[in-house]
Amino acid sequence: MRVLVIEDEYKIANAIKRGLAQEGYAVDVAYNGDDGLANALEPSYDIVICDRMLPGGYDGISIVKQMRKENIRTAVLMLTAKDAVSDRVAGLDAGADDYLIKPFAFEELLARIRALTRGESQNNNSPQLVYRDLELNLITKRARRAGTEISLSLKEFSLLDYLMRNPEVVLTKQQIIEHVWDYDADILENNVEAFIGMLRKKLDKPFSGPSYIQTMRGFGYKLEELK
Amino acid sequence: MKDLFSTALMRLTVVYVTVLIAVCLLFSGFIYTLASNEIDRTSRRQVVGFRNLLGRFIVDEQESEILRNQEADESRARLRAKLTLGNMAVIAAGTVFSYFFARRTLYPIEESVKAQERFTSDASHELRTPLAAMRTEIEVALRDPRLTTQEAKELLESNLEEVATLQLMTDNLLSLARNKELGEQKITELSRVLKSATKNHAPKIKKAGMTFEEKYQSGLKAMINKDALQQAVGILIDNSIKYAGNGAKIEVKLEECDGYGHLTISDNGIGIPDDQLECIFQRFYKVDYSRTSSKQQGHGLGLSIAQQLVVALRGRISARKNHRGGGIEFLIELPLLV
Repeated sequence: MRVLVIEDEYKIANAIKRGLAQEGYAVDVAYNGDDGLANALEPSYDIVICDRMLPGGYDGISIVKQMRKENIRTAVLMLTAKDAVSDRVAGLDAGADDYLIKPFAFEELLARIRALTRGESQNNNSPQLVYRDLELNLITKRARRAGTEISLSLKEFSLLDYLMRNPEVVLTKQQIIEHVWDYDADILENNVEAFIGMLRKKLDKPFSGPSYIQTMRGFGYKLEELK
Repeated sequence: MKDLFSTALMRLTVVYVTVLIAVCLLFSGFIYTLASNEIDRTSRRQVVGFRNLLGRFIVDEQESEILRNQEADESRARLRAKLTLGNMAVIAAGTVFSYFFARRTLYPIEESVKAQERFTSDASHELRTPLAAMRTEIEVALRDPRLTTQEAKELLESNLEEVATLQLMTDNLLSLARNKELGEQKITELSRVLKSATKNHAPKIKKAGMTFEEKYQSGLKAMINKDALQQAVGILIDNSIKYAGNGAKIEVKLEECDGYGHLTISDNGIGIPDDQLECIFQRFYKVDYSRTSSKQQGHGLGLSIAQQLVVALRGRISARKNHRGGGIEFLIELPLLV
């Protein structure tokens, strides 16, 4: 899950980046509106966390407006230190999906990000993704197959999270890199293969059932039950 | 907010109109009573006059009485019609007038409420931002099971910076709220106050790698509170230190001009874009330096405080481009004692 943080307060931006990285998110930061907008128009982000007031030509509202105008549907969570109802209404009406008032509890930021990125494949009652007998808990970051707990490293979790959000869809290595690693990460397609290999070892090999992670030679990978 | 003022406007208008109607009715009633008595008296006098003149011809006393009453009634009816018409015109015009008058009465109140709201919103924004930075940093650090002592130290240092910001903000807000009433005012030699103000700032100026020049016309006296003037000058010098920075030069000058002491504090730093010069004395106004890559950030209260102090000293403060150096020049005008 890749997150873009647009925030001009260095401390807040960096703390959010660090906190989200600890949770397995790939995070990029833009410290002003112009860079923020340029990044937000890229399709590789799953959610944009955007401060309302930014220096430079674009503030939070105009960034969201521009995104929606260019048909970028990425979820936007607006942050603001202004708590007047009219401010919140203006933000939501411009196209933001949610609003959080500063100072906020980090717990709440995480919960809102989970809520905003809740896909159709997700079980409605609990924060977990499900595919056949494979489950991924988004809070404990543990997987479970056929009742057996599987512990994952942070990157393995992020990778499986991305695969499970796009079941039965061919994902290229480039797409995987864009959604699972941040912009600064030094990652090659070989590394993706290595991480896929590790996931297979944990999810497919120990179980007698069908394998779930399929290699589409020349294209990429797909989460699918092999019949 | 808007609703509040439109209801208040309607109410006030209604009150004005009601008062107007009451006055009109009272006055009309008074006029009507007076006038109808007068009509009775005149018509009676007329009849008596007629009788004396043509006494013989008037045969029927009763007939003349009826005639007299008829005429008086007609006069009264005319009077009533005129009064009603007049009242209606006055009330109609009065309603329009009341509306505008009520709007004029409420306008300054509405403006000051708006300003107060803006101030509260800005103040809350400025207070929340450092709090948000602290809270997020602390929470994220606490969530990290592998937090090192070094990281914890860095966190505390960063928190301390935010605490300092909050403290300065609180002090400034209190000072803004308080210094509307100044302390004791005395006849003061201005150059002496300025010298002691700049002396306090000399180490800071030196530390910032800046040069300093002062030139004061001596013998200029004013009735002022010297702490207030020192504080105002200090704020302006601090401002120059903050925004002009390394290598720049600060000049403080005092000279007499038409009974006023003209005190200028100027630097040759990056200055302020012309279109923002007017706004810099507003509370929480920050000059947008995003295009000049300077990272200097205050919280936008210093210059408001300076302005408030100067106004309390019966003076004026203004800012313009420093034409010699390209930075900013502040001018404080203070009324002198002759």
